[in-house]
Amino acid sequence: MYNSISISLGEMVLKGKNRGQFEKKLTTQINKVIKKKGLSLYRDRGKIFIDTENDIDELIKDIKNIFGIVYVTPCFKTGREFEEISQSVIRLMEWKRENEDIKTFKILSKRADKSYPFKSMDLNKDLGGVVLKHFKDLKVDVHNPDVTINVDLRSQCYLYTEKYKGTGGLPLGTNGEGLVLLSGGIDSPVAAYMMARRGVKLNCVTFHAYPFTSERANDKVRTLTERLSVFCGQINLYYVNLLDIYTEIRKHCPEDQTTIIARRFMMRIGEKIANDRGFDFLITGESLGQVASQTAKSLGVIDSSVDLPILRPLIGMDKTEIIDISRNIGTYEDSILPYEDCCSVFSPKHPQTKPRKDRIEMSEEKLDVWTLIDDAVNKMEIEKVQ
Amino acid sequence: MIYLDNAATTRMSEKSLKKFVDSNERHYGNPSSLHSYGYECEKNLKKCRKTVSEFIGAYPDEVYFTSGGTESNNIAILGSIKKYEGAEVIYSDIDHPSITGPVEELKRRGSVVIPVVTDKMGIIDLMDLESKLNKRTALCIFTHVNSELGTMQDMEKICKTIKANKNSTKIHFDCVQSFGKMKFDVSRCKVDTLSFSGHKIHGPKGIGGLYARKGTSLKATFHGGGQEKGLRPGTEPLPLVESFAEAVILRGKIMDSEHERISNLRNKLIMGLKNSLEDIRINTAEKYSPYILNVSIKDIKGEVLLHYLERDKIYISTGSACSSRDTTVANVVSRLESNKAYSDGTVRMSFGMFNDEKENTFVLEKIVEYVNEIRKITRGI
Repeated sequence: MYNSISISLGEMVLKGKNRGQFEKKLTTQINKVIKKKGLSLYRDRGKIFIDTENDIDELIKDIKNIFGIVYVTPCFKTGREFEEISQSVIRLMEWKRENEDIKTFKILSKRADKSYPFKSMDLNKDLGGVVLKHFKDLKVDVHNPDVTINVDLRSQCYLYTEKYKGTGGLPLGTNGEGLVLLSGGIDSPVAAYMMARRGVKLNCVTFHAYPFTSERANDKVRTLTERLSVFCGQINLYYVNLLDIYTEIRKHCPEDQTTIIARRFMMRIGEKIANDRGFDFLITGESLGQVASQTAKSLGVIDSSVDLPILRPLIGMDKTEIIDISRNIGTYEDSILPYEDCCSVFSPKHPQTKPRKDRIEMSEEKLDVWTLIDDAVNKMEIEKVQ
Repeated sequence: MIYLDNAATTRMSEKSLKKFVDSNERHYGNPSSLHSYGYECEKNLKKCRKTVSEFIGAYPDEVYFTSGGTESNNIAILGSIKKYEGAEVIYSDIDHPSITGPVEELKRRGSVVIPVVTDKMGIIDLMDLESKLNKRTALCIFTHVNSELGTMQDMEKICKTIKANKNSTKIHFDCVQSFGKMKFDVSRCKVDTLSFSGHKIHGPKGIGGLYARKGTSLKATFHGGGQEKGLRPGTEPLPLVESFAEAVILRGKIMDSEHERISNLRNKLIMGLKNSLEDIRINTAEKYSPYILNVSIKDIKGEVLLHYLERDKIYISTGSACSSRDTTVANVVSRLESNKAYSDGTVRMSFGMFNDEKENTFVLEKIVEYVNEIRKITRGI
């Protein structure tokens, strides 16, 4: 029945002079999806449309995942003459009634083209009359109808009855490029997704300690990155082995400082990777108070190891909220696979929850910090994940 | 490659592999087909059934081919009980998931499931067993050789105890780890059903068997074309069966000499480990299966040693309670060792026909080297 879909944009319509740039990024993302299907998009008085009669459900599913889109609507596109619109409304109603028990309806017209000779209210009334005349058993209910037929008048007329919620947010690549510290747990993929939704292009770094950790743990991170790439396109994934760094920390620093010092190393390595490649910030999945390294004091000491901003989109969220998002974006099942990451292998029995920066720095003085970082980054493996 | 995970699965023997390929080329017919080629395949199937049954002292019509241990256990456990509601079923508290899984299912169907106590090594407490037997006991299920520790139950004694209470109580033994490695004869004990598998004895994966004493009534757990007397319907996989039978023939020839050879290998490894490393505990008792060696090493993690060794293509298994996905492993290890510094460092090495003295020496050398290396890191020295 449907022969077109319309795409409603989110908050980017509020952007002033930059709106063009945002829309350009968005149309690039949409084109990536539809060109593979041999389709193209066009604009009709500001709104984006894609004409197709095939696999509309599949197309909507793909388009919904693109950041920056709030609604995707399957439409029946028709001419602007009143007679033509009337016939199309009847056809649409007949088609709807094949599958649904419809007893009441409402017509809701909107004119993007104000030069159209009928006013919206008149159109509602006249088209309603046409429907009542054709379907004797139907009644009008303007408050709680079984179906609302929307009539969207532009250079063509678009009829629709339902719309699907999109992901929202801002188009990918409109808010800089970030490096996610991806652990393989539940939180960091969610943090990555939330920042990507705000238009950030993602890169990920994961830390392991092979042979102290399993190769399967790296596979798990790769799978999680693949899941994220459904929303974000190709992602660079950096694998850094921290075993030598952990060995030195264990040898020279108090055991209860292991986690905090290791986290500072991770941040510094992340910063080095980011600076070398021009990324704008680091992204982590920390949530205040969740574990020892995520107390306010610990986060302060961790942050002081780098200059680059660290974005923490989950900082005020509860675990249950994080799990809900994780399930929605399809990363939860992989996140809970039981492979140890380097944090758990080397975690001390009683980690410090209120570390002092001066004491941590004193411990780090016993380590050749920058040589260790350079060695780890030089041995790093890189993979493009899609 | 040095493969020391033979309790998980084994490499196929050359003869078994060759038989599998030959059979796929020559005997791909359906043994149930009426034509002469189908009949020829049926004759071969019969021959294999005879080989396998004779190996355990059974009659050919007492052996059913299945896909392996898990399926055999499921058929025996779920198929043995006439009326699930209220039936009492006894099992041991360290059984493998292929037993605890169907036992849980019995519970869901209304049976009363009662675990019998075992000692630290997993040996069944016969007094406890006796105290739990009564007139309502419909089925007792045990594992002959424990896959983590190699501990072996006294099948004859257990059967005697159960049958003395009530002769009609059914007894099932999971013999997956003992079949083809230890001698046992079903005609000498009163076991009713018994499961075994091909891939643990250098045969192919996807084939095993169920012994069911004559007169034992078993309900099929799924239904189809009536093959294997309706107990395990589905076209008989003759190439797998022939390859399995070939593995059984080989075990028949070498079982005694292998027992001695593997015992020597294991004992030398134990001696070497004890002499070269401090703070280790050998969890396997000498008198049980020589094919399994379970060790706890202080201040390492079993999985970490496993990953160190895999870099040299030495493959062992972990018994570490913290990382294993198998709760049985955790259960077995935690009862042995309450000190976490040891239990986290539990590993299992399991031997097979391809392991030799030279490998053993190399493995010992590498374990000692890596344990010292790992301890340096974990102990911060």
